[in-house]
Amino acid sequence: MKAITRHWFLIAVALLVLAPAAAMVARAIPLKGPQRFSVAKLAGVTPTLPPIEPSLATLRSGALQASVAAALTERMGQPRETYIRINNGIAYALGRSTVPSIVIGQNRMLYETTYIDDWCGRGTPIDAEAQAARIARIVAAVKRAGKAFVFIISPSKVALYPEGLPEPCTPAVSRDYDRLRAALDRYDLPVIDGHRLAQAAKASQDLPVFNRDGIHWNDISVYPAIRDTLAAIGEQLDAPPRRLTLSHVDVDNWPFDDEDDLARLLNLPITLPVYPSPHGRFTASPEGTPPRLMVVGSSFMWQFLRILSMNKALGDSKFYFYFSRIVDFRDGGIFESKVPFQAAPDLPKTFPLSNAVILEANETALGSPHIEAFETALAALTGEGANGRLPDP
Amino acid sequence: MQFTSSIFLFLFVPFVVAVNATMPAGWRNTFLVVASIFFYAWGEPVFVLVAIASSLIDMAFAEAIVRSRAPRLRKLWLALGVSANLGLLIYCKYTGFLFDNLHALLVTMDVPRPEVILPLGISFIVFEKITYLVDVYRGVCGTARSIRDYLLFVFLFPKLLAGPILKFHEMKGQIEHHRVTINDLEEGAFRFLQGLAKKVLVADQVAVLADQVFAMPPGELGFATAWLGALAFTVQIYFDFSGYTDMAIGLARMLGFRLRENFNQPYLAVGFADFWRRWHISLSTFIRDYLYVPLGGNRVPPWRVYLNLWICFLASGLWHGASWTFVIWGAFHGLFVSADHFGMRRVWPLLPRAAGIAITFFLVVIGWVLFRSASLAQAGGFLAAMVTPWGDAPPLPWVQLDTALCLVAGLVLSFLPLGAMQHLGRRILARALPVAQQLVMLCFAIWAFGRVFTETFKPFIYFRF
Repeated sequence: MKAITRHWFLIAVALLVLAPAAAMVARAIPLKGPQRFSVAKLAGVTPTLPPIEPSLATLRSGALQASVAAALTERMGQPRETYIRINNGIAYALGRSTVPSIVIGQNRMLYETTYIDDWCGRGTPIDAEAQAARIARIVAAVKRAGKAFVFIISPSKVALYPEGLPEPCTPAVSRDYDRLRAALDRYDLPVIDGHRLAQAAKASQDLPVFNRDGIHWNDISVYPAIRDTLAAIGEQLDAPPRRLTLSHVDVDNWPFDDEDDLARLLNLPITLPVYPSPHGRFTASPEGTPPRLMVVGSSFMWQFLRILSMNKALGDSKFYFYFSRIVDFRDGGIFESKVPFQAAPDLPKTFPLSNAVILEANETALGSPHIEAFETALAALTGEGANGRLPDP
Repeated sequence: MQFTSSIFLFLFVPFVVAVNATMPAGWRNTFLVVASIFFYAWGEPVFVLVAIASSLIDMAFAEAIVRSRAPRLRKLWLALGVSANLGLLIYCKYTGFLFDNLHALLVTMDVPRPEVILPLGISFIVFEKITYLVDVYRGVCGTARSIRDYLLFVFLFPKLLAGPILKFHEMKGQIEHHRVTINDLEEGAFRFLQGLAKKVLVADQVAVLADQVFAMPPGELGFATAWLGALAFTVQIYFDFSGYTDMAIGLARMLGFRLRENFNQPYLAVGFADFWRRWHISLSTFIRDYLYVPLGGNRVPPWRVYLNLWICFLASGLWHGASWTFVIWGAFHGLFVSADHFGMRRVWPLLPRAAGIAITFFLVVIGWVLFRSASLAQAGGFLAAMVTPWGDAPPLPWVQLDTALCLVAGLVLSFLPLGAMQHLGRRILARALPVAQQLVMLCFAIWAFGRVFTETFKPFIYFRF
């Protein structure tokens, strides 16, 4: 015993070093405890591991060794997760994000670099005229099918809170948002400008319209978009949809769903210190019917649809996430498919049953390919236009 | 397989150390040869065969040297053996450099540029192999007891990729009487973790800043930015290289071998001769013993001494890399070492020690700019910025808190008299000091392991995809 205590340091080092290998071994033990030890529960998606292809060529190039090393490292389970979280926690405390696409701004506000690049004019500008024309063609096609349509521009956190950026930059003179907005104004389209609505919400009260640790809008900024969208749909449909009113805002310390998605992506060892997290309480009007929506958009529509669904203001609806994966809002439940590229084959089934179509893009990604993919699929479904392009309105 | 890779740290090292410590003594060397060759083959699956063949050739030359009675014949075998090794080094490392410098001539001769991939650690391997031949020739020690022993000397994995450069006579006895104690394991582990922390937590962190500044066009460099970049690289190279050396020494110790020290607080040097007694000691002693002394050393007329010094430092510069920046860096150091020999060594004691350290450090930093620059033009622009405090200086690059802390910590640790502090600490804290040091080291180890693993996990932003 004495000998063991004398060499406590060596024993501690051995435990620290052997734990990842032990997790690899535990994977093979068909018991709950070891299995849990062998699995890392880190948030986020990493690139698919390169396949292990043993050959002389891959050995010579080093590709075989790289793939074996990556595969083994991936299997180091919970110890690996713990080490990563500890390092990330120290880095966060010192003001550094270990995820290259996330930066920590003033007052610990988290940002994503894509949004910063857009705000600072570092990206390649989109052809705003062409994109506006495409949206106009989609609107016309949807309306010809007798359905309501709304185009939502969801807001960017950086555009709402540029003052918190860690490295201030000169804002772009003309962003994609400004040019597309101007181009869309030349068509008579039902556009819900989430950017302007969020700015108005920010100016009219003291609560944050984006949570400190999230990249998506919160209840305060998503509500005006929901309200105006339902109103716009109501104007286009014979049967008006159920209305939603933000009746009360609870401010608590517990963000949920994707309200702190960036913090979760940082994989910290502890839940971050509490901060004001506004959560709305909504009242659905008794009159009107929950609309059956077909939504094509980005992750910003999660919060939007969740609020509608939880407040029984949404009929059976489909969310085509980036016009790829399908999320089914049915019978009060949410059924999410993990299979990509299913939206286009599913469109003929869903489109005829929907009352209204919502197309959404974030103001930093207005050239997102899901809009073009939707047009192509819609052209194929309706048989209008040629080469995946709908006819001009 | 890098020392800072997860499979090395958490699979290869524990396996090799555990098996080596527990297997019968007679099998250890064989096991380590296999493990070391596997380690090298992981990164150099083709060149490992060349290195093995070259090692066997060394053994043949060494045998020929021992068996030959005639001094001229012995010298011939030595020359052939050393030439074979240098030929390998020149072919692998300098073919492209030579072609680029003889470009015009070779193009007219219609010679295409050869694409030779630089094998890992070749500069270290070749120099160590040369020590074997020279040691045997000089009679400092006998030939290796067996092919296995020699292969273990050449391929011993802790020092394989970045030294320290071993000399055969220092290792022969250790290889032949190979034993491991629990103290070796414990002290080796401590030293290894110390090196890992220096490399991963300090050097790699500061490297981000150094890389950022050295990537800037010279026109965008201001006085302060250039100095910031130069200091960042000064800290980076010391903590990187000495950290790696600590890992190598610690690993070797865990396997039962004691390697020579390679650094001794070089930034506390007064004068360049002193600097080279503290920086990359295994290289400077190699050059002294295997190049400077054979050239005549100090036993020749003064002009020859200076010439020999310059030859040594040009060779040292070129050894670091096939580029003119390294040659100039070598010449720069050669100049100041010559100045020490010429009379500066008598001036240094007249100055306050702090002034001597500051002047030497200043010049060493200048040297690192030459070393780090991608071209002489870049070095020129960088140095020009460092001596131009006036004018419209662009703002300093934004430095994150952790990088700034690492830079400061690196500089402070470089200048603290650590030996004296250790001594004082032992007197004050007695037995508590080692325990405290071990506890601190464990914390740094956990952090460093986290850093290693974090490099393997960079998630996407849209994790719902």
